[in-house]
Amino acid sequence: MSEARYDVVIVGAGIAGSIVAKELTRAGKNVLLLEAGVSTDMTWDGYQSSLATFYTDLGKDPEAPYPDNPNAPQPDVDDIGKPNGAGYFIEIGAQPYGSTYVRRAGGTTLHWLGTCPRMLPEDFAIQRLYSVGRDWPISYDELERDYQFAEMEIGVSADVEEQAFLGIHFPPGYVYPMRKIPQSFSDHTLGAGVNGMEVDLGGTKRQLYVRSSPQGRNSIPNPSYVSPRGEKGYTPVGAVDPGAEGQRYAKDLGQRCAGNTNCIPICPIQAKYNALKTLMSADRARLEIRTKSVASKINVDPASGRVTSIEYKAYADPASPEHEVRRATGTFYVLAAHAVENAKLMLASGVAPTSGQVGCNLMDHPVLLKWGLMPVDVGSYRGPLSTSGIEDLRGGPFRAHHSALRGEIGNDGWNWPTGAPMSTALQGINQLNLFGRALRDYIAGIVPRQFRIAFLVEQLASSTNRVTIDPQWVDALGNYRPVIQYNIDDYSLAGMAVANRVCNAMFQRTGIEDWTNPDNGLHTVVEFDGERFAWGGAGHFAGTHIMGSSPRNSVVDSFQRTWDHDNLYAVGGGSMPTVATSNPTLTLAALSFRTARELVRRLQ
Amino acid sequence: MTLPRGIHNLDDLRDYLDAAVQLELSVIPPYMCAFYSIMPDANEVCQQIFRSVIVEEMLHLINAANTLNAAGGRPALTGAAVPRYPALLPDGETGFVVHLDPFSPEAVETFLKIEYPSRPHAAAPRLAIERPERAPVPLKLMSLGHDTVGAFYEEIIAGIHRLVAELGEAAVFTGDPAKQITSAYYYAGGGAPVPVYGEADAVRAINEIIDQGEGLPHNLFDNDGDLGHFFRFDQIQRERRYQKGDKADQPTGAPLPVDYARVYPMLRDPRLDDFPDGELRRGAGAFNAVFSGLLVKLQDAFDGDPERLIPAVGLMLQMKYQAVELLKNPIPGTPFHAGPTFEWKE
Repeated sequence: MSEARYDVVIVGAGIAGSIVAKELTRAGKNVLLLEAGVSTDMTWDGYQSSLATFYTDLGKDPEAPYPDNPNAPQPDVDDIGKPNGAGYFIEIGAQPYGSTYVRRAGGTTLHWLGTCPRMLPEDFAIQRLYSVGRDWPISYDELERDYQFAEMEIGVSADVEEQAFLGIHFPPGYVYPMRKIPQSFSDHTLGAGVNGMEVDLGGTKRQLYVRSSPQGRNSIPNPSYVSPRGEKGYTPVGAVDPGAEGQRYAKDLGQRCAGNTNCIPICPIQAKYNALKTLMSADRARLEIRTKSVASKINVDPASGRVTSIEYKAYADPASPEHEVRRATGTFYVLAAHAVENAKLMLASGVAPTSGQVGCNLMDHPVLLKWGLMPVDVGSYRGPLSTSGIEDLRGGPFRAHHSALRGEIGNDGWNWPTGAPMSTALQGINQLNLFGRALRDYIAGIVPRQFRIAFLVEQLASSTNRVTIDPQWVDALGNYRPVIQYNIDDYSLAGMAVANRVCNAMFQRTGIEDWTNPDNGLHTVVEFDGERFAWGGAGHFAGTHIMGSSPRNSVVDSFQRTWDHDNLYAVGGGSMPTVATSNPTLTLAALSFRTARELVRRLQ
Repeated sequence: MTLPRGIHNLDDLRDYLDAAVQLELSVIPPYMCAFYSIMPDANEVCQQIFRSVIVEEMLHLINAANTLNAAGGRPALTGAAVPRYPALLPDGETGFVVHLDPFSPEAVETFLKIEYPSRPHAAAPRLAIERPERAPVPLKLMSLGHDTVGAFYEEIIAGIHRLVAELGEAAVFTGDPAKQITSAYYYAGGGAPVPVYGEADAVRAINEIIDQGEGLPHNLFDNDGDLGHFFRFDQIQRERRYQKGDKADQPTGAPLPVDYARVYPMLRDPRLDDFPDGELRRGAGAFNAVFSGLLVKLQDAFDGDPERLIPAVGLMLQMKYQAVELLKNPIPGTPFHAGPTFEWKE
């Protein structure tokens, strides 16, 4: 079957693939985008149907609005820690990998939190500075302008004055597209206790400060905003809304965050960025999107090493494995299918073999969760899920000895660690035998005071934390399922022990009654350095096709081009040699702009 | 209160714009009653239509207030300026009465009359089905005798041009520029509010109101590709969607099934004293307190403190929850449910 030849074939319609597709089509290039899953959320009615699915789902976990598709299966938080076979991941390591992602158009931005911190300049050079981990082949300064593009595309709300810390810098006069999202009353209550608290990390003294987080949620546009393209002003992008018969009832919806406290798993008004906002603003005349098309093999010309086509399995019905194998051809190929899926596809095709690093260096942010009751009602379960963080421990000489850490302050009570407020009601009924008025009083006395902080600690790249494939584990279409070998080393555990001590001091100063129970069965329990705590995953996949300075030690170069194949790029969190302490989406979005610009240049 | 027809001087212009502000304010509660009375999982498209129209009416309110402020007047949103229902529209249309009604064929009929186009593509006139239970409360400018909202606004535009030609632009637009509401503080469908500093801005602000309401003269869809309010409602009555290229009265898009049974049967034009003492009256009172608090914040914003619009958003969400609580509950001894009464509370 002969097919049109495209300038670029992209695999995956998440944020990385959507940015590359938008930038290329707007530069006049023809793009074919292959998406393994469905495209339900690409229309207003479809997005609303996902919302309806979420409303009727009893679990309310991150996957609740996005049911599993056996032809493009995805991990589910319900499956974490269960025996192999039940869930999508096959776990063969010492610890379960505690994070999930979404396989459908829009990708995991459909249920991401939306926090958009830049990495610290030192995060790009931790080997040189602290003799741990790996270094990037580019510096913060080389990526700075692409951070601006990413902040424009996502629509980030923050105040520059608050975000310039630990070396993070902006060009003179820079402002974020939108003003910062107001911090919650809970944030202010914590700040009153904690601001100025001194922490000593092996001789590095730091004062803690409850700082507003940059967020991919719509706020008040900054009138003095100038985009990196020189365009003045910013218009918040509301709901994705190519409605029936061309009518758009919803595009005005979501132009400001309304604090629905439901960022994960689904923003009911699309005030939080999702990648479909980017995809739908590509030049659609130059973009062909093929959904329900699972890339299964990359074909390479052995003589030249160039990729000649990507094979994909096209199915009509997620409930049936019936499919057809087709081929997509282009001048360039971009894998943007997610860190795990990119690695799987490369391993299944035997591409980029020189470094032996494909699939290796899988990282996440192991998360230490602490929870308790505030001394006063703080209005838990209101506002965006998180509006502030503790950023002051993200960098410094202590990184030679233990991981850096970032505190994410929740507005969602004990939902993450315990499943509250449902669990609060169940406890009142089942453990305390309460009913009627007494039950109501119990719930009303606890729920508005519930407080949670999550400390995300750095995990270093390690070749023994990896994604592999095994012919005995395949999905409904015969594609490989990811076999994951994962463990947390002492470097991260030492950081978590520090986080545990810092949290205890923060709780004490604020008057928070500690209710943390590491043994509640939801997370992995560890004892380290005299501290006992539980940790889980943050959903921050990184590594698997890391970038570096040489084909011997890395899979891709600084443009995310595979060293082994001149026309094959692998983009996304998989390229990051350090995950450091920042939520990775903003950085991988910046890298996507860098790659798109390089592709446009090479196509001229 | 009656005034002679026509805009002859600055005071006339301010009176007309004052009526425009009240007109935009007076259509929002009836649309909200229809919207919130629909059961949560029913008539999704109708809910979207109402929501999209309501946010644009709010934008129109801002545009009208911006124009009035620019012309040296002061928009009034509190106390005696708060509309009471049943009402006759303040642009002087006398052919129909506006009620607070639940979503029903009668309510849709009234909404079509409110948004009735004045432009050449006008549909055939419709007959009113009126069941006034209380005497309609006359709002401002009763003697103007306009047939449509559009004609009322066209007269304002003509008046602005005439006064600017006579007096000069600077003599007409004497208002404090700091009182203009910009897109930083207000956002809604069909674009941003138009800050008014002179003649051209004023005409743009008023035209935005006309175009969103009625569609463009030769197209049902406006410049942003949005269907005019009249035709959005017309789809409900005809139970079929319009699509690009359709003629007025002849939608050819997908069917739009409407289920009037999945609606809380709200009492027409409810007032606080329709409810017995207890939870319902307390709930309605609480709603009115929030509604009035919202109007105070809007008033402050129009008086030069636009930051007050930020907490106003939270109040709007609160209003919805409180309205739905009332709508879900029957009034004891009647076949009707309670509903928001939209009464001013000091």
